[in-house]
Amino acid sequence: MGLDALVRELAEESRYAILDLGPALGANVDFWSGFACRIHFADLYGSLAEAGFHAGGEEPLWDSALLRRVLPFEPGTRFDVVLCWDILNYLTQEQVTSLVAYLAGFCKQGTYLFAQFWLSPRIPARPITFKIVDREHLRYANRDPETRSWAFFQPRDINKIMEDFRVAGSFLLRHGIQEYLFVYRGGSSQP
Amino acid sequence: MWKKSEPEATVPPPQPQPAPPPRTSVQAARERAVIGPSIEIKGDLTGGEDLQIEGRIEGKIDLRRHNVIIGKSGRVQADIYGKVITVDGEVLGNLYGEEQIILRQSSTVRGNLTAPRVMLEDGSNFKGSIDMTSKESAAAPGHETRPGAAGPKPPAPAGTAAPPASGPGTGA
Repeated sequence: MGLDALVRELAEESRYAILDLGPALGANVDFWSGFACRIHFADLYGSLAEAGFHAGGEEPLWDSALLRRVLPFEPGTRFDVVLCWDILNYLTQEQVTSLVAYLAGFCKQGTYLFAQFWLSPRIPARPITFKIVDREHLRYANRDPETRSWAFFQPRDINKIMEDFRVAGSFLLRHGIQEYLFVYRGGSSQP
Repeated sequence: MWKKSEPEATVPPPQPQPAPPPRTSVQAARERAVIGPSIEIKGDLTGGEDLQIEGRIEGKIDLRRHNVIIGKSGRVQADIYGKVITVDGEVLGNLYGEEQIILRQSSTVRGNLTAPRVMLEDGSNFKGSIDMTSKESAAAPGHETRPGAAGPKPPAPAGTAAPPASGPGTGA
């Protein structure tokens, strides 16, 4: 639903720069190829795991140097769309806040940010890989049967984290996920 | 007027044709150059035939009119220019396909892909950007929002230098 709302905002004849924080999937490349876009796959969760996060031990320092390492964009880069999927659920509120502020530096006024938040206190142990079937259908490529607890953001937390964005749409899915389509209002975090 | 009963010209029954001999690996190798798994090259590669890489290359590969295959044992740290680029092995660098780029299931690629068509098989390990703008659509007026060549840097794995930034358009 959120993806459909996003796609309705995009014009096929335009060229978009898309940042996908999930892993690269052929189905998603095929889907976005209809928009003559440039899409950057960051696999943020995988990159954080490579950096030592979520390994069970003491976690590395979460700072701007880490973000520059896992999301290495040239100054001046501006994305039209940022796809966060459910990855924000796997970070603390402080980490999400700094990540969103970092990403805002690569947004422009009107940039769309698509994110999903769980409504239950336990979530799959790892982020779900979503395959885009079409604009109205996503398929779970690897939903982990193991579960874990998470920061469990309330709507007020989400509003605070996303203070430089406005909510363009919010959609409740049957699986206990709330999808949000945010729009960047512009802010002071441009690098 | 028409003699319906006139026998039609007879066509001789087809004779069994000998099956074409199977393509041997030697013949396949003759159709494209192969850099074997024990070969290591540092420098620029250019040429006039298709190339399969099973060894290690560091530098630049420029075969814009020919196909380039990075085989399963191929390890390449270079920008690659080819007609169709197929990756089964590992590449650290930017790929520019005149027609298509194919990342197979076993591939690991860190860099940016530019080609009219890009195919990622499930299981391929890719980080970087994909630009599927064809030459025609690239020339058309668009909605490009990025200034100059700014854009995502080709990501470098831990402990590895970023690939050379030579070549056109590393921007998103």
